[in-house]
Amino acid sequence: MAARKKLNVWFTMLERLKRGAVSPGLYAALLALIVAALVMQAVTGVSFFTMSNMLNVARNFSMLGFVALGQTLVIMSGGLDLSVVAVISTGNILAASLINGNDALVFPVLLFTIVVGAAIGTVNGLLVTKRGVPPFIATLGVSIVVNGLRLIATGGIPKGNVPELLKEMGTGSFLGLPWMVIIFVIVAIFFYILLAKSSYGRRLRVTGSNPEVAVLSGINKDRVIITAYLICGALGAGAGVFLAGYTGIADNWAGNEFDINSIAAAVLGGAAIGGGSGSVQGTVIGSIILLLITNLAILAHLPIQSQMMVKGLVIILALGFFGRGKK
Amino acid sequence: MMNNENILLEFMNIDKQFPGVKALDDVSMSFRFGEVHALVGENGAGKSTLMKILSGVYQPSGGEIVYKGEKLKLQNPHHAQMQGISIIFQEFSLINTLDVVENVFLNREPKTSFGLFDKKKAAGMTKKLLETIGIDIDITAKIKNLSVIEQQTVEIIKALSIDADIIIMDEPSAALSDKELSKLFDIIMKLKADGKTVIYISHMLEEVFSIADRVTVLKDGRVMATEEVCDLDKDKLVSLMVGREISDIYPPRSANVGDVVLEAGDLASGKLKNVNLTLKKGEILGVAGIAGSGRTALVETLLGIERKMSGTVSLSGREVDFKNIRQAIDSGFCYIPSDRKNQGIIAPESIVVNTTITNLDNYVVRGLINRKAEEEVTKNQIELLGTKVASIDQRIEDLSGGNQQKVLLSRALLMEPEIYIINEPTRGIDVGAKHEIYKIMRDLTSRGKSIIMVSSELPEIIGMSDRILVMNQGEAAGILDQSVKTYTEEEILSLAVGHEYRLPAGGCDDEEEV
Repeated sequence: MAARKKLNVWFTMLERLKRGAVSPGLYAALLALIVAALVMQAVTGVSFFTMSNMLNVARNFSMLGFVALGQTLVIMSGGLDLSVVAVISTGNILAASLINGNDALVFPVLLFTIVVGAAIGTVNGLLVTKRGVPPFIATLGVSIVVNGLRLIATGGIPKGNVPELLKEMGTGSFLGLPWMVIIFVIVAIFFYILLAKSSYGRRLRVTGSNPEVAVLSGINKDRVIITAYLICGALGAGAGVFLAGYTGIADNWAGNEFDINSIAAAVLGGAAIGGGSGSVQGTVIGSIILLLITNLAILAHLPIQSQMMVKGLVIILALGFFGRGKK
Repeated sequence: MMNNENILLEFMNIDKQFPGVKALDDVSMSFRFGEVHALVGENGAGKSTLMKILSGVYQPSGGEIVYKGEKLKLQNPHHAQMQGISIIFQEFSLINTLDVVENVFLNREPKTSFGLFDKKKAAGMTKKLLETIGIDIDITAKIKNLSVIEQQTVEIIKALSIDADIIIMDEPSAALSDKELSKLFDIIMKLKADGKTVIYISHMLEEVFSIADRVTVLKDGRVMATEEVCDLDKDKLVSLMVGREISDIYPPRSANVGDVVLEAGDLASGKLKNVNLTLKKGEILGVAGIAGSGRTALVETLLGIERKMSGTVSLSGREVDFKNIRQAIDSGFCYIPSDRKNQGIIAPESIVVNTTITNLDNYVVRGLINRKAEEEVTKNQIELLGTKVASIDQRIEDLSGGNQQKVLLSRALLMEPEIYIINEPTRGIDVGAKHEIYKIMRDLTSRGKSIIMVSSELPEIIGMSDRILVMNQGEAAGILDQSVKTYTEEEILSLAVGHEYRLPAGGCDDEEEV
């Protein structure tokens, strides 16, 4: 009897899992990856499950997570944001040059940078909605302009110092947890509520799913979409500031590869290119999977070229096999 | 009994089992050479499944097909085509950017001696085929520049070009105007005269009576009856389909029509020329007209979806100027568009999400959705309208057309509008569900709500409207008050096309001539 009851509980859980925002396959993939890492550690002795490596993965994860959350919103709206590289790099440069080692300026500049990112996102959103530019073209164009402006402003050589406070935020911990992870968890919870429980989340999903119905239902479609790009820009800029704290230097190209990685993480997590579906949980797991694979490749001392190949393959697999295109 | 030489194709005890459902149960029926055989039944009766078996998409779980006197096992759609069985789906399989000839011979292009596409030869063959059905189309035109009936003709030509003996038409009239429909009927008569067998699937019973020789009624996967059309009347056919008697599909009109609630004066927009109309409290105003006559433009202009260029709209005497549909919704309008799939449902979302999307704000507390309240309201609506669903978390796309429409009605009802604008309220919906939707509409008017109903189904227009506004080329060609007399289809069509119009003769007369 008891055994059957237990079985029933398992069934209900499985049923919930199947209906949930995240496909069970994704959990399985994550589990398989962790098992693979354990086996690899046991056989080859790579130091995967060590405190320092885990903290390293966690910090990288947070950074990618910020951007991937923004990207998830944009993908859900039916778009794509390729300008995140430019936005992150710009946030990074702004942080270093404006703060210039002064701890007191960290928060005001963080805020300012986020506003700048949001403004860039708004431009993306306006181009996509009001001018009807395909998201791919709009965000790529904006990113080229932003990159150009930044390179003119810095003359190609980034200036400024990263202050101690920001370095602490990027590399320090609190009660054993990296500050970055703590901040990310708070942000992720906020976005979870936004997507799963709020009216904005509902309208975003409906707009991505069927823009025409959204308009006929009285939803302000343009505002919903612009908001998604705005948030993505804001999150990217914030990630750029933290990235300065993490690496300790200003880098004109700090955001490199965040575009494809954030898209891959979101899609791996169940966001459908074309709009209408996606979740915070999914994107978080997608980001973890992506980083674990990258980390394993590094730990296995694969040459950099092979690492690139592995990562490229993972992304292609993610988009090709997990990517649920819109029907 | 017919002798066997007349039988082209026979289904013998066909079963089709899907996981959990028996879609077809012991289906036996036959098709004669050169007959138009209508297949009718409510949604889910098994028509599509049967036709998918005949076109090689599905394999039957039991039973067999006898074709031209021999057992036939269809492996795939290509195999079916090679056997001379051709199906024309509701959504055409034409390539928009290619021209007529290229489409007809797509993937079967005749080759020149150099192995290149012999377009001259293909064009000649296409022309010849067009001649056989007596239709003239510019064969160099790209598909996207053709009208719907012309596109349908291309599909038919395509079927003829592979020498089809059986042509299956799935809801061929869905996108056709009445004028185009009579053209289609002409083509079908020609096909029949050439000895082709046409299987005609339709929800429109009038069409069945106009064109078919025999009709087979399917219900719940079983054959209810195969009858000569001449031996049937509409009531009998409907009761066979629904499985019970429906005395009158249109419930009686309500008597208490009140004051004018909506008035439009000299309304003009892109496709609309100075239309005047009034809508009274508790009234159904039918809007009739052929496709492209400005029916949809009229209601979309009223709602602010399309911007009006001149004219006035007033609600209970107060002038309004909607810049978008949100403003119209806030002023007590609701709109159920005609294209349910693309403009109505949010396909991958649940019934709850689909029900509450327009008045979502009513369930939002401090930015968060009160899921419980939402579910409760949805459940109430389902009960109220008798919507058949497995659960409120079910995806709306998995419901039948009639039940989808009921969810959309719920969405509208929840806004508690005063004026309902419903475009094609029962398009693609089976008779039983139609009746229920009509009852809901009547119930609304008896509670003092007003309805503007756009429809291309004339029986529906006549059966439901208190007054009929007939549109013709963007203008109001006339307003017919049915409280005085009930108008006929011919009278409405004559106004709609601007000259005397007569419906094509019924199928039974033709039968007697042959």
